[in-house]
Amino acid sequence: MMSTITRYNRAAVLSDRTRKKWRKAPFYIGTSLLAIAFIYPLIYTLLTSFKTNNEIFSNYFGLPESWRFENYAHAWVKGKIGAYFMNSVYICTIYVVLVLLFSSMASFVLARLRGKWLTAVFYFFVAGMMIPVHAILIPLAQTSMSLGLSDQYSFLIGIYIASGVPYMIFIMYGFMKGLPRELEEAVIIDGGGLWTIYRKVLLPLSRPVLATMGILGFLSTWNDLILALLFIKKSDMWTLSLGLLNFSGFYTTDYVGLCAAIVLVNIPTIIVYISLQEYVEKGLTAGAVKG
Amino acid sequence: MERLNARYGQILLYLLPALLFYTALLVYPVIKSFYLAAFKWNGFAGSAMTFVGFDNFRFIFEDAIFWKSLQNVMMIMAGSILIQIPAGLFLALLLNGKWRGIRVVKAAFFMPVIMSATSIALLWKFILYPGDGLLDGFLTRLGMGDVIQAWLADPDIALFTVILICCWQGIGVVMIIFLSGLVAIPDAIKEAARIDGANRRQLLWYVTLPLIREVTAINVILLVIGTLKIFDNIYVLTNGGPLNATEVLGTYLYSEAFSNNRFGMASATAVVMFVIGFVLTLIANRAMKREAYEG
Amino acid sequence: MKKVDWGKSKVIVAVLLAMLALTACGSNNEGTVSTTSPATSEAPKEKVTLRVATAYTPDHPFGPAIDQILTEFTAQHPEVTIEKEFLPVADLDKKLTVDRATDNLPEVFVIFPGASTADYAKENKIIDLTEYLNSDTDWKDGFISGALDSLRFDGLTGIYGAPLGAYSTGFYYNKELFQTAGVEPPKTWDELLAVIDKLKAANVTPMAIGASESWRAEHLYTALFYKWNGTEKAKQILSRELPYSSPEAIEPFKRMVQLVDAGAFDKKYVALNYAGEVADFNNEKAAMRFSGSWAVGESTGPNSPEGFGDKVGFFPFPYFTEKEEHKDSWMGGVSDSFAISTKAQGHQKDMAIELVKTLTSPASSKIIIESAHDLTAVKAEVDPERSGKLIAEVSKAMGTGKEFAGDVSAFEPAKAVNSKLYDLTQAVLVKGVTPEAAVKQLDAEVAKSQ
Repeated sequence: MMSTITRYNRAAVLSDRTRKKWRKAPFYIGTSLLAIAFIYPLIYTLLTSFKTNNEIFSNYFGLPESWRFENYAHAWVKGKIGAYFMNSVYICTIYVVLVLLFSSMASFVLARLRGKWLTAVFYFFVAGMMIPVHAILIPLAQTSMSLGLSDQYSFLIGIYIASGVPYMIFIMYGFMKGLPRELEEAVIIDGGGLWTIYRKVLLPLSRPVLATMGILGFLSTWNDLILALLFIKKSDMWTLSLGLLNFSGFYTTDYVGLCAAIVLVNIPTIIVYISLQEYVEKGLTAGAVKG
Repeated sequence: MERLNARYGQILLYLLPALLFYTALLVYPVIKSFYLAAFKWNGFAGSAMTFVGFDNFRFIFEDAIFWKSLQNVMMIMAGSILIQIPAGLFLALLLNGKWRGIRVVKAAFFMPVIMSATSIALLWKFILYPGDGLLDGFLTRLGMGDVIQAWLADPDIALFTVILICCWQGIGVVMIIFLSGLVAIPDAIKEAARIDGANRRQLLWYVTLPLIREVTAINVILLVIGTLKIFDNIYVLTNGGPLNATEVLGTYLYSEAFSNNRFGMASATAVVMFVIGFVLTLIANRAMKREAYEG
Repeated sequence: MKKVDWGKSKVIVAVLLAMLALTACGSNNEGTVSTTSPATSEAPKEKVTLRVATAYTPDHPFGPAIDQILTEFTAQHPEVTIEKEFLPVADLDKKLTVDRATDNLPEVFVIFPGASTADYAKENKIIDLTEYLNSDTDWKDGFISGALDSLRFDGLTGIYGAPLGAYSTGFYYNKELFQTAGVEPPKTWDELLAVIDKLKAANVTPMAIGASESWRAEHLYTALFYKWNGTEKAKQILSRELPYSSPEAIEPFKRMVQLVDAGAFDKKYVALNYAGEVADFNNEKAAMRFSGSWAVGESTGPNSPEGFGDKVGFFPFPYFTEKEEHKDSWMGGVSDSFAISTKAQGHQKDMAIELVKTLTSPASSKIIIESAHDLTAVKAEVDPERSGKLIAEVSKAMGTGKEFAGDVSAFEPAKAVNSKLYDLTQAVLVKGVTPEAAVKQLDAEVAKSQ
């Protein structure tokens, strides 16, 4: 039989825990409200995609008069989403894999080895961050013509890599500089070389930054318009963002179709983000425990 | 790592792929473009390129719109840093935990980042639509109708509207970069501080903040460079208007090249942007490093 | 590290493979064979590819019709592969800018005639169509009178493009709202101001204009310019005989301000975009708007409210009683025209010309007018049932016009001044700048470009 004291204690403990939970409630509610307010514009786009083009100018706030799911079917056809989807996936995936590989290799030696000329190379890369892409469009186009590569994606992906490398190296450098040296030392003592260090130590430890950079890299190319516009010639090789241009006429735009298309085009990026974000989480906790 | 007898050749191999693409498809075009800054060209292949020396630069520096663009860029830079760094840090601290649903909330703040400039412009133009748009309608319903301005069309207000929209989009990135720094702080240090009797605020000020100096520097530099080059959002939102109120260096360069067919001037603008960016980055870098010595 | 480091080699191999993969894959193999042949082609049906760059995206009113025409063309000429580069006007412009900088212009592309497109002809990038027009009189006569002259450029003798798009501008009004307020379509400027007053008294917003898009203001300026000065005067801008600060050029600015001061627009007009202008008119929030013939489709097409098109009427831009001699000077003319690149050779060139002929034929024009409810530069026998009453009304009114000319900005050869003209007409319309200050800035920019 429980003594009154124990019962009293248990009650106190319980109410203590519930009290803690209730104290946190405003925090949860507040954060959720903030999040909702923050993404309200996106919710608004979603709502708009179900309306009609005329309705959007008369019914701003409310829910659509009727939920026109056919807008999505129309948008799929008009934006040639089915056809262009694979193109975008192809380009962005190859880009992400290559740019992460190249950048991590370069950041590795720049961050973990010492040398004056290495520092110079680092600044050489970082300087590229300051170049606005519009300034080099014409020279790039001229190069593309003289190399005769205008029928393929390789040139476009190459440009993406060239402009992505400065940012990636800049950020990865900062991250890798802070990594602990013990594991490297261990590999060296065992007689391993650069490659072993890179593969067995650096890459696993860099998962969070690689995942984050992967997300950002994927996003920048998925949404890119100007480079895709100028360096993809054939219309059946277009990307999704070029497909969105189909919704603009001479003076007018098919807004509801465009909104529906935007929703469709953003679904893969959300998926990429969610899957890589889990990776980031795992990598983050692993890194924290080791450190 | 110094014990590793890595030959230069081997090191070069690791740098090679990145260097190759970077040099061929960025550095080389940049050099060609900078070279063009000393010429006048009408943009037709095979058409004469006349040497004009520093004339293009002189034109730019005499152009009031150039200075307006520069001023606007500086204001956007200041506004973005002052808003996004504290807000991003606040969010990161808020969401540096493991409670249920935190991933969803983090994702919510990151969503604006994944949208393209076209999408952002589209939805914000609707929200800011005059009279019965979302914002104006909302304000009217709250009885605050006289607060309404022509958010994107009034030369005095447009820039601030644009700054806020850019911050809305950019906070997600600042947040996750801060988060990656926060998570790297070992729990052991925080425990030690707590054992020593530090309260929440002291923990933040004396332990957390100093330890995230590196990521703060990264965020600041990224914002500096990003706002210097800013183009997409402004182009689709206002195209530099109304009356150049939101003109930035990026849109100035673009209009010189594509609207005015003055490629020499566009290149000259690019040179100026590069120099400014370089100087600012050096300053930002030094400022961050100096704190490290003092701290 | 005396041992052979296979790991390092793996990296090299991986990188090389990756780069090979990039160059090998990537092109969507749809089996398009493209050969640009030199002039020595004996085999008549050799395969050619034509790159066609236009603004006829699926959302463009002409889009579906153009697609149909192109499909029929390739059915008739199976050796031709057409590569469509259809983009909205702004993006098309970017692409053509880069194309001409790299000597890579498409075989057929759309230009909008004006002084700044004269460069294409001056730099010998587009072919002179005169001989082809003269050898095919059916084709040449198919164009409405004066259309081909728009494709002549100052200082050159040739006709450098085949026009397809044509437009005229005027006022589109809501007949019902006019009736409610008890007003009739005005003929003169003063009558217009009176109509505006009466509409305001009846609590109806008189006019809608999407002032946040600069071309709206520029069009308004142009229409006023021609009603005040006639269309010939605009040529003096090209020859630099007419500075912007001359009274003839300032007056249209002043009239714009007069319109604003008369309370013609809703207070939010400054921030309104063109889509909003169309919506306000279609949703009967404004009684009239000044626009071009493309506006017919905007009020009668699928995106407008059911049955609204029947309420819409048209009246020509009111004239100034002080300048009655210009009462039939209209803003209107030719817009999208097809130019052929000088790089096209042999059979490819022949097919390009054939394609342009097809696109600007009466048959094509009929399809376009009926589906887009818009005007073209090519005469056609149109079925009024399909094209609608409104466009017929507009055409009839156009019959009273004596002279037509396009944007005033098309007469401005310096691109920088051209852009400034758009910016400043907008600035004056939203009262951000006075007419006097605006013309001073324009003249300053002209001086800079010399």
